[in-house]
Amino acid sequence: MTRPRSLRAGELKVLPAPGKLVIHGLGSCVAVFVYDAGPRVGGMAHILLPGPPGKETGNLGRYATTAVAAIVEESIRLGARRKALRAKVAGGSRMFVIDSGAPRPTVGDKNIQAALRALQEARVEVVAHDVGGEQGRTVVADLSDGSLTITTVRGDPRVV
Amino acid sequence: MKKRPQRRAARRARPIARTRHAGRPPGPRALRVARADLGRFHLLSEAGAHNAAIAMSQIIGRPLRLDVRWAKTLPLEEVADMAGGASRVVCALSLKVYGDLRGHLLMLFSREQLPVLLDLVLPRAGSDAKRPGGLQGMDEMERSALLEIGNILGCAYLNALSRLLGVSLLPSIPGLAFDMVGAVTDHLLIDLAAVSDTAVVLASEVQEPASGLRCEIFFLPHPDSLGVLARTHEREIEPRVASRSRGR
Repeated sequence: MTRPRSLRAGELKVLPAPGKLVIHGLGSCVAVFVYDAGPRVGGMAHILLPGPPGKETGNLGRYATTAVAAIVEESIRLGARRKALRAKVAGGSRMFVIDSGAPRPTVGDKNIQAALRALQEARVEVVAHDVGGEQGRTVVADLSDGSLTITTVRGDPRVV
Repeated sequence: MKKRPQRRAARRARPIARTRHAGRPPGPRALRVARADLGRFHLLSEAGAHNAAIAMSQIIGRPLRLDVRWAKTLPLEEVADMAGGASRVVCALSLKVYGDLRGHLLMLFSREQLPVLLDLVLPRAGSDAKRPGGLQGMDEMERSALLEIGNILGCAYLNALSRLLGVSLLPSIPGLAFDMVGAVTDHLLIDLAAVSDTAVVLASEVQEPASGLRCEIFFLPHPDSLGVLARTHEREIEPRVASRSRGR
């Protein structure tokens, strides 16, 4: 039994099987999990914002654009094949109903869109997503089978 | 006029206690707040929570105890830990603060205490049935009672700050969520992360000793508003808090 490595806001980690990565209480933030089922290598990021303000280079995991690029690069370094990489995306909720009055895309929506765009630019196919809604998620990425398990306070875990 | 930048520089030169940046050195966007300013924030937090306790005790008709926990700076990734860790399930009321001093006010009740709180604010005559624990089991009346609690506590807290700082604060209507701490704090991080790597947090707690009910109150001022928050002087705060305490 592998103890999952916990990712806090803005953190990113890439590792081989049998590692596990977990994000507790994901709200409007987005989790991007990228994985190659062959060598069983992949990584996840706990993304806060669509892109860095200005030309900041630190905190790669904090921004959708830099996080996706960093996971892909690091996975390839650890033996993943670029063309075999697949992605799963979760999160981007609207946690408080006060935000619902706003017709513009919410922070969660912007994060989801930015993550999907970054994955498209990196040519990584998105095979599953569980995004939006009004509840928080705990997501566990299992490197041994590439599954992403999503739990909320409301119901049973969902595996994608 | 010329004195101001100098004063700021002096403040910056005094390093604050414990800005912990786990695993990496503080980046260029890490905030530094002088210890004296944190002391002022602590007093503001006390004044806010004191007002919130008065308001709450008037609603439920019982005396309340106040516990001002701390005012400090935290790396953004540690904000969820301030309230028991990202996976703790809470009932959260969140207010966004606009006006001269921007920020977020977050009020948390433990999951187990939700029925206690509802019993206090909406006593049900002749019914011993246990209230359900989550937001789903709640009816419209209970939801709106919770929102009203958020409104009253939040406005009481902010009124104290507004009076002490002499600025106008405009709270949003409260939002209500029954979820994990990580999920109810990450929109704060999103707001802050755009400008800073550090959050300034004013933490306090209001307790009702008989039932054990606790409301944790966190005020996270926006980094751009810290100057407004720091400009109060201790001697301005002390007498007012003291006189109010005597009055009750």
